[in-house]
Amino acid sequence: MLLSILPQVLVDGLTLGFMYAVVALGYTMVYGILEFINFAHGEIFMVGAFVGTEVLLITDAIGALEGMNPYVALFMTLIITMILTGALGVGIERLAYRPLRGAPRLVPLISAIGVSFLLQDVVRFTEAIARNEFYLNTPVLFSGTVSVFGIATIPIKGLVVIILAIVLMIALTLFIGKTKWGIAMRAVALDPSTASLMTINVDKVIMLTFLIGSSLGGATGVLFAQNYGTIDPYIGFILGMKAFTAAVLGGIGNLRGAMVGGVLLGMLESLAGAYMGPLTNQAFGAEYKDVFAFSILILVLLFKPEGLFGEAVKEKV
Amino acid sequence: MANLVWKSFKGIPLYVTLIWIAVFSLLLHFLDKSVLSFLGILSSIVLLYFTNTSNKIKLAIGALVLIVIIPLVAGENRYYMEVASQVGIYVAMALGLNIVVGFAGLLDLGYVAFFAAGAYAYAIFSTSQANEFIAGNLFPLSGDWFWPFLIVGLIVAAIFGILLGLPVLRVKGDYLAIVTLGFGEIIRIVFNNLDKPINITNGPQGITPIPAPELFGIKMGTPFYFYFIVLFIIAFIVLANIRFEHSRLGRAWIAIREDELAAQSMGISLLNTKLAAFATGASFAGVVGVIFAAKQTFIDPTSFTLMESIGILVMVILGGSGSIPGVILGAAFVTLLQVQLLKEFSNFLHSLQQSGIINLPNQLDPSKFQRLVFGIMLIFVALYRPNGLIPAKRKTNDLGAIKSSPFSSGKLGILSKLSQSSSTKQS
Amino acid sequence: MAILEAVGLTKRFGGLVANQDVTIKIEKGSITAVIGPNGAGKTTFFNMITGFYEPDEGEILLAGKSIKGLRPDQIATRGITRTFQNIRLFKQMTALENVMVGTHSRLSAGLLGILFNTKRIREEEEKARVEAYQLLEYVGIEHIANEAAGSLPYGLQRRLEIARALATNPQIILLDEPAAGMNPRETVEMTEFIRLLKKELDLTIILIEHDMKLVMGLSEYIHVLDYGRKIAEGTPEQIRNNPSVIEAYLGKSATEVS
Repeated sequence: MLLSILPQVLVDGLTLGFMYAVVALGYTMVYGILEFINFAHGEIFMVGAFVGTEVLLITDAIGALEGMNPYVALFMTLIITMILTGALGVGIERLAYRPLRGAPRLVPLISAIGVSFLLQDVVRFTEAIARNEFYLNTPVLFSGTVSVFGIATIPIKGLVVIILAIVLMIALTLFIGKTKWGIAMRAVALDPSTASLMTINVDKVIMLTFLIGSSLGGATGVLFAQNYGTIDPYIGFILGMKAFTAAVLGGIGNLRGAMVGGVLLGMLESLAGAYMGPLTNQAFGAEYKDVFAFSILILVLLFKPEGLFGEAVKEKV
Repeated sequence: MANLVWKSFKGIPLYVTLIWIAVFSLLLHFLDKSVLSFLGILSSIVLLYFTNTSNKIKLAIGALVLIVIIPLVAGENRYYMEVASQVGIYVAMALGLNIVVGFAGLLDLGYVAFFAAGAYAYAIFSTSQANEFIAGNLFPLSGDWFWPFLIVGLIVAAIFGILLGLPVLRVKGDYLAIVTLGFGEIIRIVFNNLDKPINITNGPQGITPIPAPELFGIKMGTPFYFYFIVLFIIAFIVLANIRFEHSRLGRAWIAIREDELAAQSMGISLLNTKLAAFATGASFAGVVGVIFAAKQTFIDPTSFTLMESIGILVMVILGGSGSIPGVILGAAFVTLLQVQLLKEFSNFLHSLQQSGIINLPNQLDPSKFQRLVFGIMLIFVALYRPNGLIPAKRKTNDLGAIKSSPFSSGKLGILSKLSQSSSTKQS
Repeated sequence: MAILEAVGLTKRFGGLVANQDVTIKIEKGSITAVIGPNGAGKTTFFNMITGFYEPDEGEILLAGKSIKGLRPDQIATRGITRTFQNIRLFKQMTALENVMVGTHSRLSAGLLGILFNTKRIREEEEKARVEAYQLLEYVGIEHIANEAAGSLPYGLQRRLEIARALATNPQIILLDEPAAGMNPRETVEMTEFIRLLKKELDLTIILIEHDMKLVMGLSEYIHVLDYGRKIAEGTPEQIRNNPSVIEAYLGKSATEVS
C-alpha cells in the first residue's frame, strides 16, 4: 500500500525538485558574487508565473492560442517572461541594491525584504485592477500522461517541467564555463577587487548575474504555473524559502550544489509529505511538510554550513 | 544648508508644546470623534521629545498627558482607548525587538513567535483548553490569574527564546534572518496543528473565551483598563531599555553588532551575549502576548504570521534601530497608519464609491495596503535613512564627573602597575 | 621563562598551507617581531594564538597550560589581547565606551543586576568609566573621549585600539602592523610608545610589522616566516645577516649578487 505510491511520490518530488533547483541557482549566483541573500528572488519567480499566465491569457483572448502548437506557445511565453523578469531583476539591483553596496550588511537585506513585499502587492493590485481577481488560472498547455514502466504515470506537463529545467541548467553551465562573461563572473565571485584590476567591469558582471538569475527564476514561474494550474501573489515566498534552502543544502555559491540541493529537497519533501502521516499514525501529516523543509535548512546551517558541495570559508580577520 | 538649520535648532519652545496639548485636548473634548485631534494629542509626545526643556519637566508633562489628559478627554470613547492601547502594545513589542535588532544587530524575522508563546500560555491555561491535557478539571482560571501570568508569559517566552536561540544564534549574519523566519513559520504551523495528537492549542479554531484581567473583583475588560495596563508595561520596558543601553551588557550587544571579531577579542562571549539579547527581547514579547490574549479574548494562529514580525521590524527600522525614542515613534506611527489612517482613507474611498465618483475594486481597499506600505518603507529607509527617523545616539559621558570620581584617586586596571614601577613619564 | 609557546602549529585552508609546523617561543616581558613577506602566514599565526583559527596540528601553551581550542573570548580573558591589521573599532560607540568594552570580562553585571540598577553595579560602572578614561589619558587621546570612534582620524584610531586592548588587562599584547599607514614621525612615536608599554606595564609584546626600521630598532627577538614556514629566528643583528631571510625578501638573485 505505502510502497505502491512510491513511484508517483518520486515523480512529484522530481518535478518539484527541478523547480527548486532552477530558482536556487538565482540565489546562489547572487550570493556567490555579492554575499547577499536576494530576498526578493522568490517574488521574481512569482512575477514570472504571472507574466507567463498573462501572456497565455492574452494570446488566448485574441484567439491565437487555440491553433498554436503548445510547444511554440510555451517557448514564446518563456522568452517573453525571461526578458521581462530579467529586466525586472536588473532594475531592482540598480535601484534598490546597488546604492547600498558597501553599507552594513543588514541594510541591503532590509531593502530586499522591502522589495519582496512591494512586488507581492504590486502584482496583486495590477491583477485586481486588470481582472478584478488575483488568483489566476493558467491556460494549461499540456494534458495527458505518459506511463513509465507501468509503475508510475507522469503528466506530460511534469515531464516538460523536468526537461526544460534540465535544458536551462545545461545552458547556464555552458555559459558560465565557456564564455568570456561566464569566466568574468567566476572571477568576480572569487575576488571582486582583483577582478576589477584585471579590467573586468564588476558592475556589468553583477548586472548580468541578476539578469540571468532573474530570467531563470521567471522561467521557473512559467513552469510552476503550467504544472499546478493556479497561481497567486504569495507563491513566491514559500517557494523562495525552499529554493534558498536548496541552495544552502548544496553549498551556497556553488551552481552544481544548487541543482543537486534542489532536486534532493524536492524528493525529501515529497517523501515526507506522503509518508509522515502514515508513519506517525496521522499525528504529524503533510501539514508539517514546510516544517520539514525549514528544519533541513536549520540543520544544514548548524552542522554543515558549507553545504554538500561548498568549501568551508573562514571570515577574514 | 539644511544641516546648518538643524544644528541651530535648539528645540521647540516649551510654551508651544503646552499650547499644542491644551488646544488638542479641548478640541477632542468638545468635538465628538475627531480623529485628528486625537492624533494631535498622541503626537504631542513627539513634540515633547523635541521640546527645549529639562528631561525632568519633559517626563512630568509626558506622564501628565498619558496618565491624566488622554484618559480624561478620550477615556469615554472606546475606540480611542482601543487605538491607544493597540499603539501601546506595538510600542512595547518594538522596544523588545529593538534589543535584538537595534542593540545586538541580530535580524530576527520570527519575533512574533515569542509573542505567540506568551499569548498561548495565558490563553491555554486561563480557559478550559488546558483540561484537554491536564487531568482534574482545574481550568478555566479566573481573571485574577492574569497578573501572575504576566510573569509566566515572560518566563515562558524567555525559555522559548533560549531554546530557539541556542541553535539559531550559532548561524552567522544574514543567514540568521532566514533561519529565524523559518522558525517563526514552524512555530505558527505547529500551533496551527497541535490539536492532535493531543489537543494543546485547539489548532485553527483558536481559543476563547480568554478572561479579562481582574483586580479586587473589578473586571478590567474594557480598552480603558487595558490602556493603563499597557502603559504600565511600556514604562517598565522603556526603563529596562534605558538601563540596558548603557550597561556592560548593552555595550557588549552593540560591540557584537559593530564587529563580532573585535568583540570576541575583548573577552565577549558571542553566544552568551546573543542569547541574553534574544531572551530579553523574547520575554518582553511574551508579556505583551499575555496582554494581547486578554484584550482580544480570542486568539488563533492567524494573529502570529510573518506579516506581524515584519510589521514590528518596520517599526524598529523606520524609527531608528537602537534608538529608544525612535522606536517608540516608529511603532506609534506604523500602528496609527495601519489601524487609523489607512482605515480612514479606506472609508473615505468607500464613501466616494457609494456616491458613484470612483469605482474601486474590493482588492484595492487601502486597508489591504499593508505589504505595499511596509515594502516601500523598508526600501526607503534602507536607501535614504538607514539610521531611521530618530537615529540612535550614544550618550556622551560627563568627563568632569569622571575626573572628580573617588575612583580617580588611584590608577586602575593595568595602569595600577604604573604606580608600582618607578615611572618617569606620565601626566 | 617562556610565557607563550607555539609548538608545531599547522593550519591549512583547503589546499593552501597557511602555517606549516611553526614553533615560536616568546619570553616573558620581551618584544618579539614576526616578520615575512606578504602572504607568509603571519596573521594566520596571530589568529591561531588568539583563537580565531583552530590549528590543525600543534599546541599552544600559555604559561605552560594549553589554550588550544579555546574561543577567542576565553583566550582574551586569559590575558592575551590583540589589535587588528585593519583597525576594528566599534565605530558608533564613543572612544570612552570602546575602551569600556575592554573591561567587559572583569565586570560582573548581569541581566537582573542591570535591570534593578543595584549600588554594586553603579559603582562597578563608575570604576570602569574612570579606568577607561585613564587609559585614554595614557595613550594621550583623552580629549576625544566623547567622539564616535568611527569619526576619528587614522592615527588616533590606532591609539584607541591599543587603549581598548589594554583595558582587557592583558599579559601579552599582539600588535598586527601597528605602524601601518603612518608617516615617519608617527612611526617613531609609535615605536617609543610600544617600548613604554613594555617597560611601564610589564607587557609581553608580539608584533607583525613591515617597517624594517621599526622592527630592527624595537624588537629583541625576531621570527621570520616565509610560505607558512619559519625560516629563521634570532636577534635583529642575526636576522639582518641571515642569507635565507634576504633571499625570502629579495628573491634568489639578490643573494647571488651580494
